[in-house]
Amino acid sequence: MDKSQLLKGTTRLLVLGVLRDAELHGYEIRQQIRERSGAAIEPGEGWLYPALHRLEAEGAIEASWRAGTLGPRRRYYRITRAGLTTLAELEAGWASFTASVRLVTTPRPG
Amino acid sequence: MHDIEAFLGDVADALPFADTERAEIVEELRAHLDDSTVALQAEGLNVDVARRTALDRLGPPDRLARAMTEARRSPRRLLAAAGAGSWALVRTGVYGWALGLLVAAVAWAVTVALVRFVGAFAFDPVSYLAIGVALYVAGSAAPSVVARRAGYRVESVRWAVAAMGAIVFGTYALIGWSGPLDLVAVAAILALPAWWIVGTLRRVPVGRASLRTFAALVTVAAIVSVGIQLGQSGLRQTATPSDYSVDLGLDRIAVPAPDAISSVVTGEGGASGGGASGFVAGTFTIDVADMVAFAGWTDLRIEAWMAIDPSGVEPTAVSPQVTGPFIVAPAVWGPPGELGGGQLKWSGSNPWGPRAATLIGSVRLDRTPWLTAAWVGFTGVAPDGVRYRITEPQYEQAIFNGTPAQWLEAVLAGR
Repeated sequence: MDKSQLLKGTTRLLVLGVLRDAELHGYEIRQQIRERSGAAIEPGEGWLYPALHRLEAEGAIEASWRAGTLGPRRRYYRITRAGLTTLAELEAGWASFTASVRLVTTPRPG
Repeated sequence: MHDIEAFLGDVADALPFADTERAEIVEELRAHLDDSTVALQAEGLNVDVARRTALDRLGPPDRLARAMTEARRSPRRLLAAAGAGSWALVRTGVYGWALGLLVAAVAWAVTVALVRFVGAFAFDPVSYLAIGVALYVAGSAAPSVVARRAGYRVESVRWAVAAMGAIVFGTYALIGWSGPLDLVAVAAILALPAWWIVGTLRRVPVGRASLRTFAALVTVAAIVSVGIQLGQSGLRQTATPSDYSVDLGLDRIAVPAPDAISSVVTGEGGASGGGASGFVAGTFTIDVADMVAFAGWTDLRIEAWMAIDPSGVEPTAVSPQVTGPFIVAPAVWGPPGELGGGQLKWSGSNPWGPRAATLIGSVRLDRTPWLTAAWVGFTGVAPDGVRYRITEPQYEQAIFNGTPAQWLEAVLAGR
C-alpha cells in the first residue's frame, strides 16, 4: 500500500511529536521520524519544509538560526505552548481514528 | 554551478518574498541538501548520485516553492502586508508629495508665463496636482511592497491594490473633501483615484526622478493646466471694463421702485454668512418706516441673479446669458429693526414707531455651480401689476461650496 497517502494526514502529528523532545533542524526532524519509526516511515522531504513553515506561521513552533559546529548554520525548530496543545489534540484524534479503524477491521465472532 | 545551486536558484526565483526572507529559505534548503548528500555518501553513493538523490527527494523546485509560499501565508501576514502597504503609501507619498509640489510649482510658473496674455487667473488645483503626483508615486510602489509582505506575486495583487486605493481615494474625492469648488477643482479632485490607478499599473516603482523624467512631468503638467485654463476661460464670461462701469443691467432684474416706496425705505441690512472664498448664505433685510406704502403689493421676494464673472474689478453686470433669477425665495415682514433670526437692532421701546417694519429674505449662494458673482435684491409686484426692485440689489462674490458629489449632483440637476 502507498504509505505516502497515509502519511499526508499525519505530517503535523509526526513533526510536533519529535519536536516535543528536542529542538531540531529540518534534516534532523526527518531522521528522527525515520529512526523512531524503525525506518517504516520515510518522510518525503518535499512536504517537510512547507509543513514546518506552516506550523511556524500558525505559532505551533518557533525557529531560530544557530551556527553549526562544522558546517553552515542551521534553522532549529522548537515546539511552543500552543504547539503542545495542538499536539495533544492531534494525538487524541489519531488515537480515536485508529481505534475506529480497528473496530471496523476486527473480524466479528461467529 | 552544480545541480544543487541551479535547483536553489530556481526555488529562489519562484518565491515571491523579500530578498532576506528568500535568502533564508534558500539557506535552510541548502543546509538540508548538504546533510542529505553527506548521509547518502555515507551509505555508499558517489557525490553526484548522492546530490541527485537528495534533490529528487525534495521534488521539483517550482512545486516546492509553491508549497513554501502557501505555507508561509497567514492572516497575520496579510495584516502585516496591509500595514506595510499603508506605510509604503505614506513613505512614498511624502516623497511623491514633495516631488509633486516641485512639479506643480514649476508647472505653475510655466503656466503663468504661457497664459499671461490670456489674463490673470487663480490656479486653484495646483495642490491637487501635487497630491496626484504623490498618489502616482505611492501607487507605483504599493503593489510590490504588499506582494512581498503577503507572499504573492506582484501581478497577483496589482489590480487588488489598484482597486482598493481607487475605492478609498475615489470615496474621498466624491464625498470626503468639502470646500469651495469650481470645474477645474472638481476635475483635479476627481482625478485623484486615476493618478493612483495609473501609478499601480507601473511595472517599476518611481525612483528618484531623473532630470529628463522631471522635465517630462513638468511639460505634461504645464500643457494640461494651460489647456484647462484656456478651456475654462472660454467657458467663463470674464468681465470687460464696460461690464462694471457703464450699465450693471439691474433693470433686467426689475425696474426701480417708485418714489413712494424709496422714500419709506430707511436702510438695508447686509447679509451675514460670508466665507473665505465668497458669500455662502445669509439673510438680507430692508428697514421700512411705513408699511402702509406697501398696501396692495404682492409677491414680495428676494432674488439672486448671476453676474458676469469678475476679473479683478467689481461689481460686474448681470449676466446677459441669464433670463431670470437662479434663486427666488419669499420675503416676509418682521418687527422693525430685525436683523434676521428674531434678533433686533434695538432694545427697549421701538424707535421707529408702530408702522415701521423690516422686510426679510434669505438666500444660499453656495450650491450653484458656475456661480462666481451674483446680485441679490428684493422685488415685489405693485398694485399696477409691475414688478419693481424695492432697493438696489447687493453684489456678492460666491463660489460653490460642498463636496464634488454635491457639485456633480447640482450640475446634473441643472442648477
